[in-house]
Amino acid sequence: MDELRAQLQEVFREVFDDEEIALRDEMTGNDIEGWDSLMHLNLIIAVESRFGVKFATSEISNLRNDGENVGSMVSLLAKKLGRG
Amino acid sequence: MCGYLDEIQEVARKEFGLTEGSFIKNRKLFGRAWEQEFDSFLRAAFVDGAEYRKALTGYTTYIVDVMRQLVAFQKDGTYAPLTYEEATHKVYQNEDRMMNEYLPGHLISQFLWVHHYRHLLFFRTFFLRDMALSADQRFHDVGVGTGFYSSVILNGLPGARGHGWDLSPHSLKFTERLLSRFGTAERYTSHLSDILTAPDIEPLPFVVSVEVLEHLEDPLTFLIGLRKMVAPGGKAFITAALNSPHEDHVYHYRTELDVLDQVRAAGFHVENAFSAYAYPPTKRSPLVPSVEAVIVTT
Repeated sequence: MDELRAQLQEVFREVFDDEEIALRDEMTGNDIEGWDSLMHLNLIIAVESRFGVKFATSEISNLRNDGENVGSMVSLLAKKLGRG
Repeated sequence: MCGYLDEIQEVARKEFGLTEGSFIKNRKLFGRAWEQEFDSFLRAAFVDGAEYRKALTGYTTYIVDVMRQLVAFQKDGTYAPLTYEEATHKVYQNEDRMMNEYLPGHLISQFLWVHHYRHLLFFRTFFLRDMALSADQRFHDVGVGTGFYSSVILNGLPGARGHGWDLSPHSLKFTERLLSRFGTAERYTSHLSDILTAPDIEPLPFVVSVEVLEHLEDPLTFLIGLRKMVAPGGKAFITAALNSPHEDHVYHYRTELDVLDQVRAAGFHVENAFSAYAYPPTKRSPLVPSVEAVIVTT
């Protein structure tokens, strides 16, 4: 797991209060208990705070669209951090 | 059959992923009656894909904005300082914002937000029922916003006639369009006017003011003015948002008692009250937005 994914996994564990979460790119909202819209927003805000980035409303919403997954979030985050 | 609702939920799943959960949750929570009512409402209010996409966009913006502010709110339990004038400039007088985002988003939230829909059920059961039994079904709706509650009354009571009051011309325009869609606009008169300064307002047997108080700097003075609009023997339905930081929420109600005390201080007698919360409290979000509704007499 690269550094970005490892840091993201820490955020997931903190937000969902679950130290057992092992993040994989293909994971979606169905794979993590409690990942509803409310928790998605909590997660995004925590990610913004951790990485010092800002997501647009459309980006936040699109990450919940059918077909999007953790990998989509990693890609978007990497792009914002200039690592993509 | 709820084909239009199904279609819009499918669009939400594909294009507005943040909103789909509300559809799923409320189908489970409120069942067939919610589905049928929402489907009928959507068919009338949002006639094509462009219109319901606008509503879903507005709703998305609304919930993201609310959540961002809620995170800050959890830290100190206070709203960011805001004057009514600032909110007016930022939101109510901004035509593009109001017509294309704020009002469509708020309108659809009446069905997608659990606490909004629960208030509608309360309104129907305890206020609209009394209106239906009255020989005089005239009403004032003060601070019409989207015009949703005016539309509920006019749709439910063919004998009702209403007066809508607002300081935003865009709210009144949006309301008139909504009522036209339902074929009830001819029983409605709009007033771009402040009820505290407008001359010769005829008191009517029913007054509605939904989620207006939290937008004001001095809600008590507004409530005193509202009371004068209720005819002797009449009643009013008044609601306020609690612990709900938002870009245009000025006055912070912390508890249900804050609302009840203020309504009583304005001279109203509280006949019935109902609280509904947006979601259960969590460790990260112990302060949960809610709405308090009261049915009051003079």
